[in-house]
Amino acid sequence: MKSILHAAVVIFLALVQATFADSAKVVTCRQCHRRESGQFEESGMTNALVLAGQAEIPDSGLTFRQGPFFYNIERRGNQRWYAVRDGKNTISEPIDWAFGLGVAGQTYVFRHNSAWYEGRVSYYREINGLDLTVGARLEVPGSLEEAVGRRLSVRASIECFDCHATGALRDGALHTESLTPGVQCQRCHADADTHLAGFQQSNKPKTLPRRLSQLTTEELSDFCGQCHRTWSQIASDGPQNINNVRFQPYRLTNSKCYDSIDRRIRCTACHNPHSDVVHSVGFYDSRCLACHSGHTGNEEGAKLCKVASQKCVSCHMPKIRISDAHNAFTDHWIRVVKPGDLYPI
Amino acid sequence: MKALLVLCFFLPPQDRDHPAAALQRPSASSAAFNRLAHRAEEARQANRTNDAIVLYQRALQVKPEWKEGWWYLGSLYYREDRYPDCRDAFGHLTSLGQNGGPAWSMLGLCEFETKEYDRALAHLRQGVKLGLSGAPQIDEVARYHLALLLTRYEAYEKSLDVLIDLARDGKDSPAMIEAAGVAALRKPLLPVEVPAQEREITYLAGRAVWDAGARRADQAHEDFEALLSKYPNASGVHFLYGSFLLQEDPDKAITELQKEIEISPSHVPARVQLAVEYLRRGEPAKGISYATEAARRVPDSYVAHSVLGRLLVETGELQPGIQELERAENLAPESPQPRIALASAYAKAGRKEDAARERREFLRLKTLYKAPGEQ
Repeated sequence: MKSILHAAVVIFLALVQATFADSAKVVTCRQCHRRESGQFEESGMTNALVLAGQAEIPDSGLTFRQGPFFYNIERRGNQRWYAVRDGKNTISEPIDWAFGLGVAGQTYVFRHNSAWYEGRVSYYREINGLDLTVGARLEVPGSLEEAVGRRLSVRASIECFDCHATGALRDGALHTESLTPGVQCQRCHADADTHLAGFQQSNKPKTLPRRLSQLTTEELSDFCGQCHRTWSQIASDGPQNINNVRFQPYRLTNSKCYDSIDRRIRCTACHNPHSDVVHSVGFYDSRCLACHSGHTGNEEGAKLCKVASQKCVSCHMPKIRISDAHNAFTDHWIRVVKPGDLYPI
Repeated sequence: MKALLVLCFFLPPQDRDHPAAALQRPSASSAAFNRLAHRAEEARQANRTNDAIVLYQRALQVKPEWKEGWWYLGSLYYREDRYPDCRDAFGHLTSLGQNGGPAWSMLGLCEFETKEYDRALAHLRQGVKLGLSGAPQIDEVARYHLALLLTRYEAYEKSLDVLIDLARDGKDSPAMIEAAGVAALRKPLLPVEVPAQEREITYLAGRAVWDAGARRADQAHEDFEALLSKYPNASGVHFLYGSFLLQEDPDKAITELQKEIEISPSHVPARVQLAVEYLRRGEPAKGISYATEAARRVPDSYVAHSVLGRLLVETGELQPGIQELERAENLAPESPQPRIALASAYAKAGRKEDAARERREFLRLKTLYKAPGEQ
C-alpha cells in the first residue's frame, strides 16, 4: 500500500511539473485551484475596488445638491470626474478609484491637494443616483474645500486600500501604483506568492500557505474582521448605533449562540469565501439546524424553534435598513426578535 | 487664567436658591435674614467686596443652609485670594448637597490654590464629570487646572486629552500652551515650577502639541520643525514628533520614535508607541522586543504588559500572551483596554465563559471611562 501511495505522489508531481513546463513558468493560483478561482472571480469581493473608469455606473446625470453646493460625477473619455461647485468656483478632480461592489453603492477616492480624498457623495444603486457618503457629516459644509469630501490621512488611506485591494502595502507603506484591485487570492492567503514561486523555480521548496480552514471560530472572526470589523474594534470605537449592523463579526459575537470554539457558528460555516454570498434565505436553514435540531442530540442551549423549521434567518437575522446607505443589511446578531424590540447595540 | 473666572460671578441657574424664595418660608429670623441678604447682594453688585463678605457671613449665621449665600461668599473669597476661606465656603456648600459641577469645581480650584493637590484633583474631576455646560467660564478654568494636576501626577496622556479638548474648543492662550508643553514633555511639574532654562522648549513643544490637537496640521508641522531644529537632541522631542506623524507618515514616525530611544534609552512611551505601531501594521514580531523592554523597565505599567500580551497573542504565543494580559488587568482592574484584548485571547483559547465575562466587564468599564481625567 505504501509503495502504491508513493507512486501516486510521484505521478502527481510529474503531472504538476508537466503542467507548468509549457507555461513559461507563469504560474497562477487558477492552474491548480480551478474551482475556487473560478467561483471567486464571480464574487463581490474581487470587485471591492475598481478603477473609476471601469465602474458600472451611469456616465452622466449623476448630480446632487446640498445647500449652495452642486455635485456632479460624469465620464470624460476613459476617465470619470468628480466636481463640486458653489456657484462661483468649481473644484474638479479625476476620480482614481471606485470603492464598493456597486450592489449597494460605490464611493469615490481621488487625489486633491496632494492627498487622498473620499468623495462627500457616493453613488447608490437603489436610487440610481448620488447621495451623501455614509458617515459624512450631515450639516452643510462651511466652504467649497470642505464640501469636496473627507481628506484621508495616510493611515486611513492604508486601511481603505488594504481591505479593498491586494498588494496595496509593502513594508507597511501604501503603493497604489502596483496594487491589484479587489480582494484576490494573496489578500487572504498571505504566503501564496512564496507558494507560487516554489513552482516557478523548481529548486525552491514548495511551501504551503497557512490553512485558514484550521483557524478556530474566534481566530476566523478576527481574520474576517480585519476588514469586516471585529467585536473589539466596534466595542471600542463604535459606531454604537444602527450603523454597526454592517459589521458582521461584531454582531455575530454578540449572539447568544456564538461559541468561540464551535465550528458550526464560524463565518465560513455559512459563507463560502470563494464564492458570492447566497441571498436565498432557505440556503442557511441547514446551518441553523446543525445545532437547533433534535437529531443532533439537542445539546444545551440549542433550542428547537416552535414557529418554523424553514427560512430561519428571515426571523432570527432580520434585515435592518439603513436609510443613509439606501440598503438593508442582514443583522448577524442572531436572536429571537420580538415585536417592538429595539435594535440591540 | 484666574481673571477669566473672576469676571464670572454668577450662580448657575440650576444651583439657585434665591433669598426671596427662602423668605416665603415662615421663620422667626426671616426679616433679619432678608435685610442682610439684600444688603449683601447690593454690596456685591457695587463691588464693595469687603462689605459684601461681612454681610454674607452675617446672613449665613442667621440661615446657614442658604446655598446661594455660600456660593457668593466663596466666590468673593476666591476673588480676594482668601483661598482657605474660599475652600471652606465651597466645602460647606457641597456638604449641603450642592452636587452640581460648578460647586465641586470651585472647591477644587480653591484647594489647588491652598496646594491640597490630592483633594483638588478629586474635586476637579468630580466637577468636570458632573458637567459645567451651564458655566462655560468655570468649565475652561476647571479643565485647565485639572490638566495641570493630571500632569503633576504623571497622568500625561489624560492631561493631554483634556488640553486637546480645550484646543479643539479654540481656547488658545499662552497658559494653555505652556500647560500642554509640560504634559507633552512629561514633566511632573506645574508650569510655574518649570526651570527657567526649560521654558522655551516647553513652550515650543506645547505650541506644536496644541496646534496638532486643534487639527492645524500644517501649522503643527512648522512648530515641530522649529522645535526639532532648536532642540534636536532633547529628550522627548522625537517621541512627540513621532507620535504626531503616526497618522500621516507612519514610516517616518517609526524612525523618529527609534531616534528618541537612541537619545533617551530609558524612554518607555517611545517603546510602547513602537510596539503599538507594529501591532497595527500586522507585524507583531517586530514589536515584541520594544514591548518586552518597556515592561521590564516599568514592571507596573499596565499599558506595556497589555501591548506585550496583544503582540504575543498575535504571534501565536497564546498562553504567554494571556499571562501578560492578566497581569495588565491586575495592574489596572478599572481600565477597559486589557479586558478587551483578554476577551479575544480567552476566546481563542476556547475559554468562552471567561471571554464572555471580560466582554461584559469591558462594556461596563468603558461607560465609566468616559469622564475626562478618569482612570
